[in-house]
Amino acid sequence: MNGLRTILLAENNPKDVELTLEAMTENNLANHIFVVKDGVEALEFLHCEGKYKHRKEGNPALILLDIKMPRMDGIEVLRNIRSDSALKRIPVVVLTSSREEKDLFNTYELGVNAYVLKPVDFKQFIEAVKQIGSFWAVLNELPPERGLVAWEK
Amino acid sequence: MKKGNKSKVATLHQMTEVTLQDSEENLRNAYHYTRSLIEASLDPLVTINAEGKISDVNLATEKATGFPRKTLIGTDFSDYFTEPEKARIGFQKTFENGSVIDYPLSIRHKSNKIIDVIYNANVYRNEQGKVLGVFAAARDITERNRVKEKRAAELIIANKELAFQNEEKGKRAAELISANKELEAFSYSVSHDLRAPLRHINGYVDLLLSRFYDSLPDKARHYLDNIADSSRQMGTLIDDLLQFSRIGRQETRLVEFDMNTIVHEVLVSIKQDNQERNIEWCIATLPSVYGDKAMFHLVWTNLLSNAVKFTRTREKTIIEINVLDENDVFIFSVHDNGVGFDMQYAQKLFGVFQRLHPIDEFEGTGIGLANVHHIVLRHGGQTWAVGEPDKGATFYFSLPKIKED
Repeated sequence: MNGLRTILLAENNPKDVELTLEAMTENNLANHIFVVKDGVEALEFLHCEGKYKHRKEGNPALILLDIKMPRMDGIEVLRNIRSDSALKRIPVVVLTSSREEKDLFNTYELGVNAYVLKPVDFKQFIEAVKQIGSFWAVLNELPPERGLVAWEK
Repeated sequence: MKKGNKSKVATLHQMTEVTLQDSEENLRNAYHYTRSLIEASLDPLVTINAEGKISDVNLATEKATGFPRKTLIGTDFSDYFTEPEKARIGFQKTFENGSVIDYPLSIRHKSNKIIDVIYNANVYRNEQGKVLGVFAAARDITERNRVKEKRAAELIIANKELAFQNEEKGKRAAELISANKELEAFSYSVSHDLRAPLRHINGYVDLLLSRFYDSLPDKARHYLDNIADSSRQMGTLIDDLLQFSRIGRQETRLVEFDMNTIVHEVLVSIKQDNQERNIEWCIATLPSVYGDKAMFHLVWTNLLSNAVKFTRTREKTIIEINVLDENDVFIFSVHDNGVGFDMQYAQKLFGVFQRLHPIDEFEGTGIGLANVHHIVLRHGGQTWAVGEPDKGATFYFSLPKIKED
């Protein structure tokens, strides 16, 4: 594991997924990322339900959350996480195209750990993902008994 | 008419000093006189004896009821009203109190036509003071009621109209709110959805260049550069457009503030970005104004960065910031010694996405001055500009002074 912990990426757009993974690859973080494509799947994953019934239990070290997703958006996912005693300590970083004030306000109101605007410029995007990854998945200390358990993909 | 009545009339006229024949004749005259008066009345008049039987009527009563005098006399007076019971109560009240005033009833005409009336009635007595019956005068208020009803109907219509107008206003307000919401949703969508494909274009162009640079022919690299350039440009356009629409939607938060502070804040970042330039700043002392601070931050940012941009070709740049105190308004101005512009295009300057210089000479989307114009307009001021090609330009905006209240 090399001290790296797992990241859950909730992102609906496959190109964004690919580009994020490319950026993570450049930072040697790609192997620790698990991708879900909307809010419902994210919660199923976190609750070990549905197709994630058999995954090894344990919370990710970080959730990278897009806001605009089908079925359930990022704001709803965040609300669910923060009101769930088993999940509420997981660091959540919103990674989005939206710089709307109301999204900033709502996510911070719900206790988001960071809000990062996806830079349009790819070099800046790589830099952003790199910083997020190295800070949250390497540097940041997690609360005890949470997020130290990895799982099989 | 009975004999007793005649003598009563005679008494009223105090005809005691005349001879018997004179008195007889006078009595007849007096009778005719009184009778004419009664008949001349347009109001239906009726006398009713103590038993409630009609003892006398005038012509107007015949008209109101449709019955001739000889039919009416001797019949029960209450038979001629739509509400006989109410008529009898009125009659009773007159007996008890000596009179009634404005007692409302409706007479039923022989043809069933209804005439609304109000009654004024008095008892009449003999010489000994014994009540003999009731003398009642009706006034036709059908017309009055009709007018009232018409007014009431008109009022109802007017009220309905007003209610309709209010409803319409409510609808418009609701429509406006929903239109605003739609606009918000629209710009949200623009903000989010339009940026995503751009990011993807940039991302894949970048990946192509970084992963396959060596195997790409020069032409392909050049094309990729242009793709990247265009998508960057589009990114800026989207951001600018969003900012412009946000200014339109934003509520202005009005406070009193020192214009010097804002200008110096803006200057700090502009100087930071243009350290290599030789710029002389001449800044007058500015007044306190009333407005939205954040918006004026944007106004000065646009005006000053424009001044810096369009003086780029000058070896030495001079930018002057001034203010004029003109009655109710302050007029702020930014003068530069830059490339200027042709006055025939002056009115285009403040339009959205209007540019007067080729993009490869001076970058920009043409949204800056549109924002300035929009903000100043929202504060009750005006914008204008004066310039000449190659001789610099001056941009002005006016702002109403702080209201003393």
